[in-house]
Amino acid sequence: MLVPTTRRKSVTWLATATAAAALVLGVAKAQGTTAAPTTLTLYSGQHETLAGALAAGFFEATGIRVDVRTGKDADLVNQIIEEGGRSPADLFLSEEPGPMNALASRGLLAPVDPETLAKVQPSLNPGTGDWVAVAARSRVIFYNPTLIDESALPKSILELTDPAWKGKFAYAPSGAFVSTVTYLINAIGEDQTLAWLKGIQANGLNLQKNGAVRDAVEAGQVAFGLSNHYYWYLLAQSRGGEDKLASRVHYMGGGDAGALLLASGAAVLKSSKHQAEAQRFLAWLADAQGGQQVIANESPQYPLGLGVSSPLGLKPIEELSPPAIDQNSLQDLEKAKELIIQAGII
Amino acid sequence: MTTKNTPPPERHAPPVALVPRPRIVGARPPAALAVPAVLVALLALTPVGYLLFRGGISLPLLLRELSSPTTGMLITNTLLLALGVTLTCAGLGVSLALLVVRTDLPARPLLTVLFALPLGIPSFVGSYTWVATFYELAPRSTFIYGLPGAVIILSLAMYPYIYLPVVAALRGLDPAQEEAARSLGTGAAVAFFRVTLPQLRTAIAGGGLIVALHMFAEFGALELLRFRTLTTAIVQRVTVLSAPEAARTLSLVLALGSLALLALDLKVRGRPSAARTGGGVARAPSLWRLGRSRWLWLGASGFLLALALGVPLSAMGGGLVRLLLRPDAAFDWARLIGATQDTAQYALATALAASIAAIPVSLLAVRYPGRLAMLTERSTWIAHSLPGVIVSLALVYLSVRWLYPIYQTSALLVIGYVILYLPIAVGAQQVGFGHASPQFDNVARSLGARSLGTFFRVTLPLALPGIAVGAILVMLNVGKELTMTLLLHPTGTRTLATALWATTEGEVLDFAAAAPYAVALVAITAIPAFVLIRQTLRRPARR
Amino acid sequence: MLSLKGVSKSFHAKPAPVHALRDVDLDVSAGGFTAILGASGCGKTTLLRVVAGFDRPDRGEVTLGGRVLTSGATQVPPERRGIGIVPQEGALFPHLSVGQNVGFGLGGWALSGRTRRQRSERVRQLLELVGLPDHEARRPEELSGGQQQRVALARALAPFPEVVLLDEPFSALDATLRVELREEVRDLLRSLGTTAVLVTHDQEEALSLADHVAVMRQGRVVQADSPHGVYASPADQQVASFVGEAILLPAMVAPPGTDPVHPCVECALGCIAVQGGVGGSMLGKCMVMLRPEQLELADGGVKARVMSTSFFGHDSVVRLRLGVDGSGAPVRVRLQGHSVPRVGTVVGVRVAEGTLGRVTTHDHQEHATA
Repeated sequence: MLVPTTRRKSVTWLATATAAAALVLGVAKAQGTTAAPTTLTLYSGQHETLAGALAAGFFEATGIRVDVRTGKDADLVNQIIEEGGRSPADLFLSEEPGPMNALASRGLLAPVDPETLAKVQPSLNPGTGDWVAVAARSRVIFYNPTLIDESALPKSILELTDPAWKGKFAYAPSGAFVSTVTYLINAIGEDQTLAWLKGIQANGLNLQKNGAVRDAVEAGQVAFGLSNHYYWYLLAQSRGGEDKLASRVHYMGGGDAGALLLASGAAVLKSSKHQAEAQRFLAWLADAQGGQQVIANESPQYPLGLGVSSPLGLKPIEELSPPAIDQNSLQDLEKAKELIIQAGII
Repeated sequence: MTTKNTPPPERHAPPVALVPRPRIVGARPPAALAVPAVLVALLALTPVGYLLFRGGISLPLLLRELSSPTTGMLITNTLLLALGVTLTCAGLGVSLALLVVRTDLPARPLLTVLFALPLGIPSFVGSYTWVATFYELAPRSTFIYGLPGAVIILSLAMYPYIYLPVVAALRGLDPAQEEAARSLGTGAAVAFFRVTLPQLRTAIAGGGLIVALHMFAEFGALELLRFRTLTTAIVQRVTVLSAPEAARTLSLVLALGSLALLALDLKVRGRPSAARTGGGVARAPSLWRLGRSRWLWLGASGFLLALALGVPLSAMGGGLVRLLLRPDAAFDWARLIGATQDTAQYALATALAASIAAIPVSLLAVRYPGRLAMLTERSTWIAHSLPGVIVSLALVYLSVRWLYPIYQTSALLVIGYVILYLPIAVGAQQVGFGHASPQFDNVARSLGARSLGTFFRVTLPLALPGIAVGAILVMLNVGKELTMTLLLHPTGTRTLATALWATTEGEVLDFAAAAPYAVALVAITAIPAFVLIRQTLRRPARR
Repeated sequence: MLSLKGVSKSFHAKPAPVHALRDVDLDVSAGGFTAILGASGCGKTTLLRVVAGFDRPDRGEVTLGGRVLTSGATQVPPERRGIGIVPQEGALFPHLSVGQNVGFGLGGWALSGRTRRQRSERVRQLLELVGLPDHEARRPEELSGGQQQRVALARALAPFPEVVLLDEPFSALDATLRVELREEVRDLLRSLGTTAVLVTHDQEEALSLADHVAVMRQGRVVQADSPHGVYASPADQQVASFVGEAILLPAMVAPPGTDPVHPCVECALGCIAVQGGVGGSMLGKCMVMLRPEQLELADGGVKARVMSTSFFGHDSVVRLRLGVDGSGAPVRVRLQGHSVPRVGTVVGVRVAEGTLGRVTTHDHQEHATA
């Protein structure tokens, strides 16, 4: 008799069979998800919970489904650029103005409905009208009061090139940092900006990420750090209250580069096949009764809808006194990139 | 000259098989094998093609990147990290393997398995938990940041890649060789270094190559540990500066580095040799008696496990407890289950696809060693050393233009995973095909089996243990992959790794939210890791 | 009949190409048992692989019963040749049971119930034939070396091959088992009428089993003859030394004597009648070859000193050096009796009565191509 002897191979055969089954299921599933009536695809650099809440709110208001694809801001921008005219995305929602401008400068964005633009604070919208500012983040200083007094903090981030600050502060080369550099090039010129970057590089701790800057200040590894208010309030939320944190937020004010107010933008892609629905999403997103409420409630950013304010204890947007700029002026990142690389920060 | 001394008929010359024959280098592989192997190699090289031909790369840009004040530092950092982690992993892997195979350490069977389990912990989760643990226990300490921290933490995550093959190789060695060396007057330690260690070279080099190339491409853990390498610079050029041209230029430097490493590896590795020359049943080697120091060694093993497994698991466990105790416990379990299913599906599908794609390459390398085999095999490694974001962008660019129907489907994601993890499958399969001697093929052919039938009835079953090891390793890596998954996943799906990442998006180390995903990830990678350990520890059937 | 004509094969190798087969002609008679005898590296394994179809010759033709197997562009794949092989150490498939090994050549997975039954019947029949009934469910690693070889033979015979190639199948076995098994195998193959080709480096094996022996050296068949012919009339000194033990002594051709069929040569052992003539050495020096069993110890013989002795039970071999002081040519004598002279003593040695020596040439072919 021929006895089947499968004993020692049974595990591997089982694994192979399961894999084959999974493959079939996976393909079937992928095909199942493709067919749906007008569904918008949103590429979002914002927090997944916020993007999800926005999609849900829009669906409730209009019955139009929004599929969200979350990622890092610049990853998504690169993806859209590589996708070229065939991007599956209809909409893009960013954290920073820089990525928006990168798309706009390549002509990948469709102009935003003027009515939509009018729904938000006009100062943060780009002059071009290629995208609409739907939220804002303020550049701030996080400081640890056990290591430094608020009054002892620098009056301007331009001071930080002074060797006296060596080892006292942390920074992270984030998108907002790049925006700051772009602003500085316009404000103080290329040479001064490079000198400032080199000073920062020499004196500060480069911690790679805003979250790391905040955590290092909170833990007392360093006295203060340059970052966005957003990150501190996220930690406060997670710890259950602002009073639970050792560190504090210092708003620079006075029109200093360290007080830059940066817009999170939303835009319709030119390649979208659902222009009308996508513009409708933007209109809803900018609306004081629509998306702006969701932004105010779901994330510690400044909502920009007229008459909407954050329920959190953020310093009111009117009192921030950031430097006055057109967000669109933060478009030319080329020089900023070059200087940041040249200074050895990235 | 008069009488010639011929061997008397009563004595016998040694069997012909033991007499070395001239190495035949010109055997031409059949097209049915060479063509698929070359196609797979070309697939694996697509990211390199993208780097070279996507445009935007120019000599001035290359010179500018090379002359940037940080580039020298970044290259040095990359090399130091790769060297440090590889050597530490080699030291740890070989020592631990010796402890569990060759000593009378207590609880060896349990330790054998435990030592391999860090394989199931993604390195970004590992470093994440280290950072969190340090914030908790020593908030002001910056010990774990920088090179020493990165070397220690990454070595704790990576050493199983050397430990496992060395355990398998040690078990397959013929103890008679060491005994022969002892009888020739060498001490136990010297015999180990002169006889045993050289035979572990292939196992160590194979694992070491994976570790070193992994270090070339590592990003997530290093960002957390504040250590800058070429890859962190490349990724930041893409993700912060939106300067993909600069990133591609710097990636070429990295690719050149990996080419050098691949060539070095060929030199170090030498040609694989059969572990056992005679027939006969494998005997267990004599064990080194540790005496009283066994408790010291046991303590050291416990300490190592506390670092490699204890730190991540306790941080995750703590987070899970906090989540369950939270009053507003509104955890989305359906999302967790969905992510687990998606992860498992991608892992299994990729394991299958990568195994199939790897077969022609590994079979060619084992059966027809030569220039073509060497080039195809080495080609599969290069993508492994490139940052995931570059490989992903290459696939975005290429598929949008030429394979649009599969863009953002699981098919493209699986292809991407296959490109990333092909070399892991190829490495393991070569061991498997090494067990499937061509002699068996010849016999099968003479019995009337066609070449395809021979492959399925003889070669494949014999190589299956090695193929399974490769498939499982691929599964483990896919389960842990983050960067490519973020860029290529079908919209609306998520894996455990991306779900875990989503909870950390605000850059808040919130283990309560992340713990279920981390625990699920470790749990489902533990299954293949465990099967892998069982598979590796099984004695080779013959030869 | 299996027939090779002008078969050549070389391999690219470092430092120089290896000419494994040079212009080999060979006829293997149907139903016979042919041995290919040669030292390792002589090309005999390549010859076997060419016949089996694993290697393709650079030139030449292989035919089986008039059917062309290899010729020019024609290359019948191994699976369609009807040639079975028993490799060294058996090479049983380690992932299959004994029964599955034997049944391997009797069809793959997709079999109807009837052919499946026929297959298991054939497997049982063959295992019985090789003396291993009831071993069907065993794993190869559970068998002894001899049992593995029997299974390998059963496996090769299962699909009714016209020819079975045996690639040193007995070399890994111990002495007693080897002799027993090879005779058993020969008888079995003969009773089945299967043509057999045995490749071996063991001259005793070749001479005792085969009815036809082809001696190979450096890629050539240097002699193909009956076992007796190869032993008694070796083609040259190398064959003489390789096939059995040879005593080679320098000699002078003696003036033509009374017997024109068996002329005489003069050597250290005196005047020896030779068979097969003296070839081109008619007028000068030559080499004469004798076998140890053609010499005997006798008081009246040429004086020689005993250097060493070996006792084999059935006979003994005495190694001598000619001359009282043992400074002459070395010579071996095979003795039938039990009395063996002591080492160091001086004995007399002579050529046994009625024995014919043989004048041998030194490897003329190699000189031609070297």
